[in-house]
Amino acid sequence: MVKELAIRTSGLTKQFERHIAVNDVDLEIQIGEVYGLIGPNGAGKTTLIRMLAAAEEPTTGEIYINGDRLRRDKSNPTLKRRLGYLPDDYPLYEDLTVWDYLDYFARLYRLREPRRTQRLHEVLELIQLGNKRNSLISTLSRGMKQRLSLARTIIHEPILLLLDEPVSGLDPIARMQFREIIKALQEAGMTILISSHVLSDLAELCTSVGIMELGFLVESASLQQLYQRLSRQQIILSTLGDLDALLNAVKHYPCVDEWEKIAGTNSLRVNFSGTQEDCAELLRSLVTSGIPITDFHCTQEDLESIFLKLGHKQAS
Amino acid sequence: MMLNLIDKIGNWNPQLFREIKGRLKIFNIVITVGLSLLAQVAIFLYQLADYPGEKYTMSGAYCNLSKGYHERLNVLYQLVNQVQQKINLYSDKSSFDPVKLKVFKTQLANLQSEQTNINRNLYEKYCPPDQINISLWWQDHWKYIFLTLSVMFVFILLVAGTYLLINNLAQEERRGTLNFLRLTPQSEASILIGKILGVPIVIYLIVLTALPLHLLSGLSAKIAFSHILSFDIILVASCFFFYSYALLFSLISRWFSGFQPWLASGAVLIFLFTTLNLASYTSNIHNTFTWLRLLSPFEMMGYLFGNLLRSNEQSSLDKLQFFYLPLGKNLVSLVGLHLFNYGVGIYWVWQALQRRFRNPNTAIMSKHQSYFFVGCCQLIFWGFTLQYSNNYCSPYEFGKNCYYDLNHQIGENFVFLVLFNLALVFGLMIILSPHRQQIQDWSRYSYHEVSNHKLFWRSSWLNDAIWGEKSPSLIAIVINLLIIVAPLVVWVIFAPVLNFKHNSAIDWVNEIGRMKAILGIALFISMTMIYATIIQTMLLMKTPKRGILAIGSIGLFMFLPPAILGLLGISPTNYAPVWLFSTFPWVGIENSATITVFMSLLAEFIVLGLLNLNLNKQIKLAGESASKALLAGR
Repeated sequence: MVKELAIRTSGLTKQFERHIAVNDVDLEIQIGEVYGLIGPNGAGKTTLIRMLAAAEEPTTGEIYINGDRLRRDKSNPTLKRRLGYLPDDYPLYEDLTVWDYLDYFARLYRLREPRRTQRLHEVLELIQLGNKRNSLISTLSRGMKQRLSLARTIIHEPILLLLDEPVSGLDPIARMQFREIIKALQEAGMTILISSHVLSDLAELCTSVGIMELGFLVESASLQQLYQRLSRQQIILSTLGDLDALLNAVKHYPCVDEWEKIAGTNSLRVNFSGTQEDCAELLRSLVTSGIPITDFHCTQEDLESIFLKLGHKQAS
Repeated sequence: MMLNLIDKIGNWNPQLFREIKGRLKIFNIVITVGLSLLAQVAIFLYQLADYPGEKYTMSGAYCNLSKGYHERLNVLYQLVNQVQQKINLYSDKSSFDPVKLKVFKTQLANLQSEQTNINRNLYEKYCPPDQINISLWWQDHWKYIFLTLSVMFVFILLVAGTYLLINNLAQEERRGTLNFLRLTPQSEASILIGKILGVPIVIYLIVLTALPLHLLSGLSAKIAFSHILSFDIILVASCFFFYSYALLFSLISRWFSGFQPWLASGAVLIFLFTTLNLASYTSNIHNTFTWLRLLSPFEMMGYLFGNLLRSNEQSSLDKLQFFYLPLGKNLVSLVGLHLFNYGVGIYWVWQALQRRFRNPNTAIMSKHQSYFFVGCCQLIFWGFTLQYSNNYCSPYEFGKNCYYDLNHQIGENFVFLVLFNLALVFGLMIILSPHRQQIQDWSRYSYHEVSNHKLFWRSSWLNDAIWGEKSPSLIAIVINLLIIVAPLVVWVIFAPVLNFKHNSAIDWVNEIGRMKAILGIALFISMTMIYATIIQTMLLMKTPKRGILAIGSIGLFMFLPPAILGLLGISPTNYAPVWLFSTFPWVGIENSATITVFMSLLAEFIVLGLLNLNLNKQIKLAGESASKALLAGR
């Protein structure tokens, strides 16, 4: 049986004047995935997300959320209850308190008592703003406001979250907190579409990645596939002795394709195409040849390098 | 209990709940209620300053003796006059009589001294306290307090309420918070009604605090409760009407940015002042213009509390008719008609609000809706035009032998009908003509899709032009124009039959000739179509200011040439053909030959055809693919 898709678009296009912001995009996202959307500024990520959130009307093409056609002209209350959308500028009402703000949106989404209060407490705990519940929104920090916006997005327990650049402009701690929340939401079974410039954030969170460029979705695959296809295994080697001796010993080894000295350290980075056994064999041969190895560890090429390798220019 | 109530409100309408939470804070409530009470005390004290005390002059309206003295004075004036005439008579040479003269002169002196005494009593002496009619004084001053409060309610509610609503919604739209509301499963009506009830809540509080005094003063002034209630109903309806339009205005006028609330509340203020004056001084309500007057609550105020607003004249609203139905005769039917007039406006503004709130890029009215809207407008215009009154008096028997003449009634209201419909068409051109982006989408995606079905091409294309959302507006404008002119054409055709009294009411139609009159209407349609084509072409421009540019230039096209012709003294009598090409072609028709009119119509059709060819080319150009444009070097 074919697994039902959380999002499916066909021929989705948005044109502004002569400029085609989103060009014939066929996007498919499985239920339960965290899908990362990468691309430089102006690639059409925001427009695509806005169309998926019914905040923008497609010029042409169709959107299906859990198999149901999303239309903008109809009110579509059931479909809307399944969506949570967090835009990149997350405007808030400064004259309300944190509790009143969330209470207001819970009511807009027709949550009834006693579920409403319970849900409000759950969400406040998740975003760690329980102690600020009676503070005016105008007194919150940027990171707190951002988390509050996320809380507003998930208050009605949507099954699909659309997050547009959620971590941009946040400090590292706020980012970490945010990542934890997203992980918790994913565990709760939500499908999440997240666009970001910060590739390391996506690498940790996502199960699938899509790359957009000039309005086209040029790549869309699970992270696992992407790594398998494009990421090479690398070995970092450090020695107490002569680096050149280490290099000579390594470069004749059959599975070693490329090597590079890591500037400023007595270390080498080697692209290695062999298996785990080959890797163990290399270490053994180096130790037996008497080279004083202090560090030997295998890594994978990160998302950023893969992205560059695909020939795309990373904007951040 | 208060919290419980707010919670219940929140379950019913979350938007109202949000506005209450944001606005009704203790400090705000205290200040508002305090200010309202202070204002009421000030009004009350201001009236109390006139309270007749020990030093109330005898001539004052509330001194019981004053009436007797005034009556005596009137008698004395007459007597003095008579005696004076007698003195003149006997002073004359022909009938000179010194004895009688002396008697009358003594009589005159006595009368004058009595006059002086009364005047001294009236203006120099104080009214004895037991002769002051305190209850009448209170009744009148309760009336003043009631009227002051009523007028203040209207101004505060409509002007300040409009300001607050537009300010709030425009701000939400600018900051992007409105998008979140659009994405919730709440209906447009629920959110916007929440706004209407919640945003001006401080103003409601001011009015509610003053409502007990309003009711008390009204009842004390012996005003019937049904009248006070009718006024309140009309006031609530007018608030809903104006607030709904305020919401629509804030949704469609983003380009005014921070100026929106000032502009709209200023316009409401001017409208209220104008209608307050009209309600006070102009009593002719047997014309098309009345629908506009009935949008202001002052008209009803003048009718209900007539003697307050007008010093000597009674409101003529009781003679008001709608399609000859004498609805003004009865309070309930008059209130019903008033509410119907508001209701039509409210119905259409909510249609527009629902469309526009859901999708800020869409036109406020679909083509489909525009036909019904124009139909409704004609219903209202003609309903108030067709009122029965003795409007036609024979020119030979001045002021006598007056009777009702339908032709005269329509002829008199022709200017109103034309002006209102011209404004309507102008508005429709702006509302219905899609902008560049939509035309581009339509031309690139829908138009080509449609063209693929060769078999159904013609009918699909026509269907799309009549009903489609993004298709150019021209066909829809033609249909609307036909709806507008249909009653006029019917009248032009039947006017001679209706002229059974053979009077001069339709002499001007006869002079023109009916064929030419119908040709004149055709000229008007073709001219309007030229304007519509120009607007549609201008809306295809690349500049983002194309909307304002199109509106501005069409405004100039429509009204500048007639104004210049008028200023230069190019009169329709001598230069009729020039006028045939203006917005008001019928001015020149009378002095042009039928063939000239026909040729002008032909010329306009040719211009219209050429403009449409150009428009069609541009639409196709807009719709072609980017690569095609690139290859062609555009």
